[in-house]
Amino acid sequence: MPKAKVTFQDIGVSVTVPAGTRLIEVSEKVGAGITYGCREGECCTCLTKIISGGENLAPPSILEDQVLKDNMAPRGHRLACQAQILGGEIVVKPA
Amino acid sequence: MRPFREYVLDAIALIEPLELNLIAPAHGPILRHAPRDYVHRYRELATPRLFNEARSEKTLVVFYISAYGNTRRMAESLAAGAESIGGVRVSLYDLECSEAGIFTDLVEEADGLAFGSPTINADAVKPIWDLLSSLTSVNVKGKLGAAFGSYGWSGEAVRLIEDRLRGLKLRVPVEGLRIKLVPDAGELEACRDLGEQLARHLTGRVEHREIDMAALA
Repeated sequence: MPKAKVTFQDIGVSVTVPAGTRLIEVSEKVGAGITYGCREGECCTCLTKIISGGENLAPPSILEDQVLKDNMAPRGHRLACQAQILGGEIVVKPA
Repeated sequence: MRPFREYVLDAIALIEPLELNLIAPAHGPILRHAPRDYVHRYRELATPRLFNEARSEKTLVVFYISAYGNTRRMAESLAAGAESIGGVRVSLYDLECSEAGIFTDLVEEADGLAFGSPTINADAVKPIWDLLSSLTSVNVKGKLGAAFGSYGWSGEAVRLIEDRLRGLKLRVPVEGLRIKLVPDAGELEACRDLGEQLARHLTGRVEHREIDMAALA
């Protein structure tokens, strides 16, 4: 299975994950500083800054896009409960 | 001025050099008499009151409360561990009989905050929650946070405190330590180790870790 590497900059931890994993699944397990509310892409609590490797995440769904716009999320930000890791290397930190 | 102190200070820096005749705020009365006094007063209210003598060092404040002295012993070992790493100044505070309000200045100046609480009735104890709830008025975003505590049955306190710290947008990079009843020598060593890890995080001397998702529980 293809692997990807996600780095949580705030805690200085990189995790090798199988492709298809969502950020929420990893971040909660390693104790990164991203906080969650609804966990289903509506509340925008888990807004996360993608420092690099944004192209290695699945593009945002229409719903995620709308929530990001509604909350005036800056460029390069995603919802950790929605963003799915496709491969390669990604560096993130809480927004 | 909390929690907007920094914005106030930034704005005052822009206003102070101006020649003032009157102040017409976006809302509120127009101030015609001695407008300069208001600017002075704002600076006074927004300037941190606590003189931070540890400017060159990082500061870790350990708050704890203990029912039988077990969490206290953990706190002391943690503090000793953190102190053993150079460049970190550690202060230990027992929350017994204290009010949360008096710690606000201290929390604001600290780089790292550790909270120790026993678990009583499946929860952290009230003085800890009082202190944590008073932190909304302080800008604690990005500070380092950690939790620890002794427990007898289920030990929920540590996880609950960690969740609250994350909710306040603190970084909680090191998993909190829960120890059943009286900590033995090995467990106190683990507390010491937690202190050392926190100090390394504070001073930016933490080793980058690489792990596989399969290794995570």
